[in-house]
Parts: sequence; C-alpha cells; structure tokens
Amino acid sequence: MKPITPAVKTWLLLGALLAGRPCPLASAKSDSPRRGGTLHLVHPTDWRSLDPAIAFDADAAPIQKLLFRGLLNFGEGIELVADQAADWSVSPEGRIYTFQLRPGACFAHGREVEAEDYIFSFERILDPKTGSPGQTYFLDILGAEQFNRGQAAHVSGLRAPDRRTLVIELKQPRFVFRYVLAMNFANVLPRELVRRYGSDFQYHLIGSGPYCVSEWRRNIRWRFERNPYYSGSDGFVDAVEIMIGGDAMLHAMMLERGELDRALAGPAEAVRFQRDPRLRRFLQRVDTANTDYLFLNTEMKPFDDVRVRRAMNHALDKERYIRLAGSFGTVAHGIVPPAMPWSNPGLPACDHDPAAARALLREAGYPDGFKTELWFILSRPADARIAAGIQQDLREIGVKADLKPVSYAAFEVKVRSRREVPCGLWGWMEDYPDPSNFLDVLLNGDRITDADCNNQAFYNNPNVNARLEQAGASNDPDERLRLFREAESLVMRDAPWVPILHEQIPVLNSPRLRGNRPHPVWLWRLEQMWIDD
Amino acid sequence: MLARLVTRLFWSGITLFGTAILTFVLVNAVPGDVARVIAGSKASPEVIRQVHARYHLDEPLWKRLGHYLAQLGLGDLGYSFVTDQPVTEALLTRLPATAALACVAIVMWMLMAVPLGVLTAKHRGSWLDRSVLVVSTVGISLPSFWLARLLQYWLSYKLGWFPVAGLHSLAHLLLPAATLALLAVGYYARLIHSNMVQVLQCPYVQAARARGASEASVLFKHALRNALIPVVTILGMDVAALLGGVLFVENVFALPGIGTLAVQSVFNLDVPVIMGTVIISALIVVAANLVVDILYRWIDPRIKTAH
Repeated sequence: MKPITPAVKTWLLLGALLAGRPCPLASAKSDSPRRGGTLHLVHPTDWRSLDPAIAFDADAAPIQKLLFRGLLNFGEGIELVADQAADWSVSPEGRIYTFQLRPGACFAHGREVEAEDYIFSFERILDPKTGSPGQTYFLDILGAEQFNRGQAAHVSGLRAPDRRTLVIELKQPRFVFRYVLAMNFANVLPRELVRRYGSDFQYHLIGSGPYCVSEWRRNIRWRFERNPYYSGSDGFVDAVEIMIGGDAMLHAMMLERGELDRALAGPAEAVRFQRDPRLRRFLQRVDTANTDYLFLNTEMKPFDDVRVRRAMNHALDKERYIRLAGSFGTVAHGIVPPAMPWSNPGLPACDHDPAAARALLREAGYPDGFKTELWFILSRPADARIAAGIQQDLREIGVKADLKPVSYAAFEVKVRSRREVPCGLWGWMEDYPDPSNFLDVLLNGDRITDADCNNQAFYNNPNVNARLEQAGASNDPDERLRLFREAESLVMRDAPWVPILHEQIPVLNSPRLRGNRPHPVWLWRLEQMWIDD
Repeated sequence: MLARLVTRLFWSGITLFGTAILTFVLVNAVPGDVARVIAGSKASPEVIRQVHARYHLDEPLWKRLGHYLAQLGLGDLGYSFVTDQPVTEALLTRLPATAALACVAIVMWMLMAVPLGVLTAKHRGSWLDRSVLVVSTVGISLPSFWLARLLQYWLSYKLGWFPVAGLHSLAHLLLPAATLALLAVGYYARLIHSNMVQVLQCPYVQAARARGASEASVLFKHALRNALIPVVTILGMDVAALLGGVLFVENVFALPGIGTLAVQSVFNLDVPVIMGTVIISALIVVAANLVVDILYRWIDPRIKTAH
C-alpha cells in the first residue's frame, strides 16, 4: 500500500473541512488502565476554594480527591475502605475510633503523615476563625464544643499516643461519624505548612493525594501533576488540566473537536448527543443520590391539612416533569434516593390521579381549589420548567399557583423562615451515604427553628422524630434500616413533600477517556481515569 | 489648558464617585442573604453568623457604603466574597486579556474601515459604496453574542480554522477580535466615507490636485488626515460600547478577561467584584474620553486656537 503523501493529506484535510463536520470522535481501544498523558477538563467557574476545610461543593469533591486524602474513603460503592489508615477499629459501644496510619503515606512536600497532622486538621475545622462549613460534623467529638467556643486549647477527644496512632473519642455513639471521616473535610493537611501560610494556605495547597498543584491561575486554569511521594494505587494520568470558563455549548464543541476529555452537558447538548447516533455513546448518565421535591409548608394553610398535601401528591405528573427537565432523572417515590443502598424500594408509588386529587380537595373543604404561591430559584432553568408544569397540573384540580421565581440568596432566606413560603421547589444531595442525611436533616421536627431551618416543610411528627433519634443513637445497621424505613413510610403518609425526581447528571466523555465509572458518593473519580490514545 | 484639565479631572472624579454609589446601592438592593451564597446551602446557622460578622453584612446600608467609599478612597476595592482574592488583583489579572482583545479588535476594524471609507468616498454610488452601507447597517444591528457564537460555530467548530475557546496564544484572540471588528467596521467605514466626501470638496484638496499631487497623495496625505479627526472622538466615546461587546464576546469564547469576571461575579452575587468591574469599566470610559479630549487639541490645532 502506498504511503499518503503530504499533498494527499492536505487535500484530505481540506475535504474534511469542506464537508463541514468537526473531526469525528474516534472509537474505543483498550480497557486495561494505562499510565501517562494529560486529562483535559473544564469547569464553568473557579471553585471558591479547594481547601478541605472550606470547600463544600459537590463538584469540588472529585477535584479535591486528586490532592487530598484522609483515613477512610469509599470503595467502588458506599462501603468504607481504609485509605491512609493501615487498620482501624471502633469500640464495641461505638464511641472510640482507633486508627493505625499507613507507613509511607506522605505529603507532596515529602514528609510522612503523622497522627498529629490529623488532630491539627480536625481542630482547624472546629476553629471558628477558619470559617469551615464542616464544623458541625465534628462537634460529636468529645471536647469539640468547648474548643469551638474557645473554652479549651485542644479537643480532648483527639489523641495521638504515637506518631502513627490516632484515637478519636466521641461524646456518645454515633454511627454516621465513620462516614464523616470519609468526607473531604476529614482530609489531612501538613500542619507546619498550614501554620506558615495561615488563611493563604488555599494558595499553597498541599495534601497527601496522588497529585499536587503545579499551576493555578485563578479563574483561568488549574494544572495538577503527580505527587512524587504518593505511594497509593490511584492516579493513572501524568497531569490533569482544567480550563475555567465557558458554557455547556462551548464545552460540547471543544469536546467534539478533541480539546477536552470530559465535560458536563447542558440540557440542549445532552439532547443533541442523545439523538445523534454518532454521538450517543459519548453521553453518560450519572445517577446522583439526590431528591428534587416540592415542599408543602405544613404550618401554613391550606397545607396544614394532610388531605390537601395528599391531593398535591396525586395532582402532579412527574413523568412529564422529567421530560421537561431534559429526560435526565428518574421518578421519585420516596425521600431517600435509590442511588443510596438504604433506600426503600418497597414504598408505594403515588400515582398521577387528578380525580383522586379533586376528591381529596373536596373532602378537605376546597371544592373549588385555592390560590397559592409556588417558589423556585430563578437561576435553575430546569426548576423553571418543572414549576410551569406543576402550575398546569394544579390548574387541572382547580388550584391556582402563582409562580414566584426568586434569586438563590432570597430563596435561601425565605424558605428557611417560619410561615413565609407556602410551597416551593428544592433539591438535596447526600453529604454521606446514610438516610439520616435526608430524613434527620430535612424532616426531623425536633430540629425546627424560626429561621435558618432545613426543614422547609416545617413538618413535625413526634413518631417520626422518635424513630430518627433512635436510629441516630443505634450502632446496629439492621435496626437503623428498620427505623429509617418506618420513619420514611410515616413521612410519605403525612405527605409534607411531593418527591419529584432523582437527578441524573449528563456528562460527555471523549472516546480516549477510560475508567470513567460513576461513583455513588463522589459522582466520578478522576484519579481512576486514564487516557487511551 | 491646565484649568480645563483640572475641571475635566474633577468631573471625572464626580462621575466615578456617582457610579460607585449607584452601583453599591443597586447591588445591595438585591433581596436575600449574601452570606448564604458565600457559605453555601448546607452551612450551619453558626457559620452564617460568622460570615455576617466577617463581611459586616449586619450593618445598615449607609454604614457599609461609607466603609466601602473610605476603602475605595485608599484605592482598596476589597476582597471577593467567593474567592477571598483581592479584587484589585483579580482585575489586574484579567485586564491584559481584555486590553489585548480590545486593541486587536480596534486595529482590525481600523485596518478594514480606513481603506473601505476612502475607496467608497472615491467611488460614491458604486456597488462597493452600497455594499459597505448595507454591511454598516447590518453590523450595527447584530447582537455581538450572536455573531460571536455564529463565527465560533462555523469557523472553529465546523471548519477548525481557529481554536474554539480559551486564551493560550494570539490565534485564540483572532476570532473574538474579528467578531468585534465586524460589528464596527461598517459604521467606521461610513464615518470615514462621510468625512472624506466633505474633505475632498475642500479648497486645500483641490489646490493639492492643482499642484499636481498624485491621487494617492491627495487621498491619504491631504484628505484622510483631516477626515480621521472626528473618528478619534467617536472612537473615544465608543470605548463604552466596546466594553459592552467585549463582555459578551469574552464569555462566548471563554477568554479570561474583565467581561467573564463581571458575568461570573453577577451569577455568584460577589458584590465586591461586581463593584470592582463596574468601577474599572467606568474608569476606562472616563479615561478614554479624557485622553481623546487632550489628543483632539493636539491633532486639530484649530481647537486650541479657538480657545
């Protein structure tokens, strides 16, 4: 076969250009991990911070995992695995955690990780001067509240008997604390560097993860390169480059032209990739442990009547909202998302049944319906479409809902205040894979406050509260599962929410990207992806 | 001259001061709690209280305004709510990209507009003259973000002639600058055309012809120099419009300039950065007008004589 001459190549290229198509996305090659290459990513805006004490965005978590590591991590699923701990144990009553650190686990500047580094990192989170949104997760440690209030110089429940042993003593048994230790807040930092840089540590990020920052131009570009002292098994690519800026349409174009390996798809791009047989296989749906819902304020009329709330549950056609939101999601029948193994697949589905809804309204004394306001966040386009769909469905049963689109800042204040918002659209994504992160945080009536309340429905059922308290104190997984399921069934019977959908994130992958399996907690793990050129 | 300069500087200062007050009041009139935006939806009430204290968000608006203006008087634009970065540093990091884009765009459109303006003046009523008139009308009517996306789609995405986005080399600036240039070239060509038509009828041009000067010399040496004088004024005033275009074009091409920073800060309700981008934009417009005012006297000595 004759070699292709430069002239022929030029004509072929010209032909391709004149054909008016971007360079075709080539097909797949090998499935075994390969080392080397650069992973090209994009993010619309820079993160507020990647400092483990500060960052709390779901989309910052996979990036943080490149730089930082802690005692525990999640395995392929939600099972906990030792990360930079060689061994760990929990005392029988569930109050004392003991960790043996893995020898050879080093920070990116070469020093070995010590137990004192963990004590320093946890105390830094609890120090109000740090302004960490993770403070509350660590208040279960013995002496943490006193330290947080400035009444103690150190947290008495944190001890380092030797360089490689860390003991954490809790005030009382708390099952979910093990998940807290796998969150990014619990990543370890080199104490001498944090002391040296103070609040400027965010400009000198150094952790014990597989990569370190080699370049950061804020709002422009990040580049991560291998941590030469990392001894774990993660990290296949030599470097990860993240361009900051652009919108979903631009990112899709860049990906198709081979300038990116992975990008989040906007609704329009997701539909375009879905419909084009050539592009479909590069579109990935990532299930999230999230529930989007319509909350009904049980302290405000007419939603103080359970029959009205049940009528709302029957009135809404959730399948249609998923189509309106770009067909990326699954219908929600309960509070705890199915991506979380603790969810209850046995919960009865509440069918779309306008006739039943009208009957319930008549029974509740609203034969002609009523007027209400439906609040949602203006900057979330999917919510605007879903709100319009809900408005239409409610009109069918005689309820006139005035749409109230507001800014995120205004929404956050109003929905958390008592008797301000009759109903609204909101969503919650897990912080750690435990039902308490949904049921206890969002629906425990004992936690209702006049302002800054997470329980937007202001739902308060003592039977539910009691079960949640019991489950929180229990160390027995089976008992916890039973209690959470009972609590969730009671909540669904009382209908303070209309669970609408569990979100799926549409992601575009280049054909050369491998190892891009979704993860139930981290969504995806960049450190396990590789490039197959 | 000095008295006039001092007066202009005084009014420039008043304009900037007014812009700062108006923007501060408008941005802070947005309902809601910025602390929630800063700390995130899942932050505890205690963290929200700490954010309030740190950024003086509990203080009344007038007090915060006073604090801001005092800070501004010392040249301190504060710190970003979202990134904690000094706003001045954020702006200075972004300014080179915006300046480069604006300069390349101005050079592009002047390089196209001058010959077109001269040629259409020379050949009035020709197809070229009518075409430039059409292009000018269309150019003024087109939204910059639309043209930017269209050029990006065809020339970068479909044909691959230019990089799709980002800023790694001069090549990344060509298409964004061409977008801005295409929007302005028709208008400037018409402006030069009108001035040239008037100037070509002036006695000194006819005298130059009578002296046997070549047509090129008449057009470019004698006529164009005078025809460009009003263009300098318009260019100075157009800096504001150019900044508006830059804002959209930068966002379409993901260029790390002031425009993308402005849009990001609005989405994040990052008040200090919003204030910073508005103040720097106002400063550029005021400075451009001041420079034009001074340049004008140098370019056209008749103005100095008149005063």
